Amino acid sequence: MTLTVNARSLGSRRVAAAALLLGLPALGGLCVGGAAAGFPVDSDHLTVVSRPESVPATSCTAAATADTHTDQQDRNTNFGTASELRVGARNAQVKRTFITFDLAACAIPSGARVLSASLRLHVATRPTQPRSYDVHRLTGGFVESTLTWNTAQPTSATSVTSSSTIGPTTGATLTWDVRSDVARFVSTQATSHGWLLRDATESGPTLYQAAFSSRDHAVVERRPLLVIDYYS
Amino acid sequence: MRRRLAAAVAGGTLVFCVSASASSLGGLDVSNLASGAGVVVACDDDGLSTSYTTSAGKVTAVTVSGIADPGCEGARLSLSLVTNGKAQIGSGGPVVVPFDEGTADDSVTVPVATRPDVSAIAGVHIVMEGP
Repeated sequence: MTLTVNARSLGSRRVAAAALLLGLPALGGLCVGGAAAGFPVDSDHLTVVSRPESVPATSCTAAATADTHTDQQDRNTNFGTASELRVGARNAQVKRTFITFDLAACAIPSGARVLSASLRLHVATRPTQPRSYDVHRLTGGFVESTLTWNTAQPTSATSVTSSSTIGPTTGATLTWDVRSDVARFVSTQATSHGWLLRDATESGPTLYQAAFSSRDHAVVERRPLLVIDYYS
Repeated sequence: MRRRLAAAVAGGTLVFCVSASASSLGGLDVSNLASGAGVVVACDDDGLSTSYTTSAGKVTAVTVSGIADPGCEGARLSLSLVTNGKAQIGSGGPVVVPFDEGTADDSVTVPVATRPDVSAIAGVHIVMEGP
């Protein structure tokens, strides 16, 4: 980058500072020609600062306000206070997790642009084979303390928001990209009911199961998080 | 990175030149411009900070802080926002740095009427003229 200030008329206290400010981008750098348009500098001071800079995004990390799972094999049991959230696949032994976060605490304005939103769960137990877990946006709420397999299930979007895969040996944390859902919540100011987490292939003869730390886990750092970056 | 510019006088024409790689452009200021007719110096030599006011993903104003007090009081501050390709996408000012009785660094907020997209901004140029 080159900076050239031609102060041909400096004796009359004129400096091509306007061009420095306004013409510089078009010139591909700090470069001011001698005959460039200027503005009068009536004092002895001229301060110029130029630097690369991006606008920092605002970040919000929300904690889960409710989470539980349901078990097809244990249909009437509520797991609202369990320290683990389970997801399982096998005929008649399906397990599904439901989780929601306090988005309102982030106070994201309706016109904000959501850059990213990640649902992060700490992996407590890995499946014995690589499995893909899908998240679906919930369209209806659930009650953490009463939800079971046999109670009315909260409604959810049929489309998968995102999917993440975990194997038997890798990954301490599993992350889902839920930006599209959070952007929808923000733009419509609709109530966020959270997400359903389920195995992408629930049927089959073999049991595959994973467990994630819930908001009731004793170790705070292992509890679920929703991390959102946005421009207000 | 801040560079002090040395003056050179040739045949009545004053030319300042400084070269730097783009990657080293951590900040550049004109701290001292001099000619036979006089000297132009910066009113602030320890850097300026910026923060952005945004709405719906657009920049509506830039607040420049860390402005030397009282050295820059009364100066007229203008700025421009540029893309990675150096295209100007927003500008504001001049705004006068207000006078106050304290000696803590001043700040001014410069409205940006064009409301450029925040994600497009890759650089800022600030000029303070005076006092």
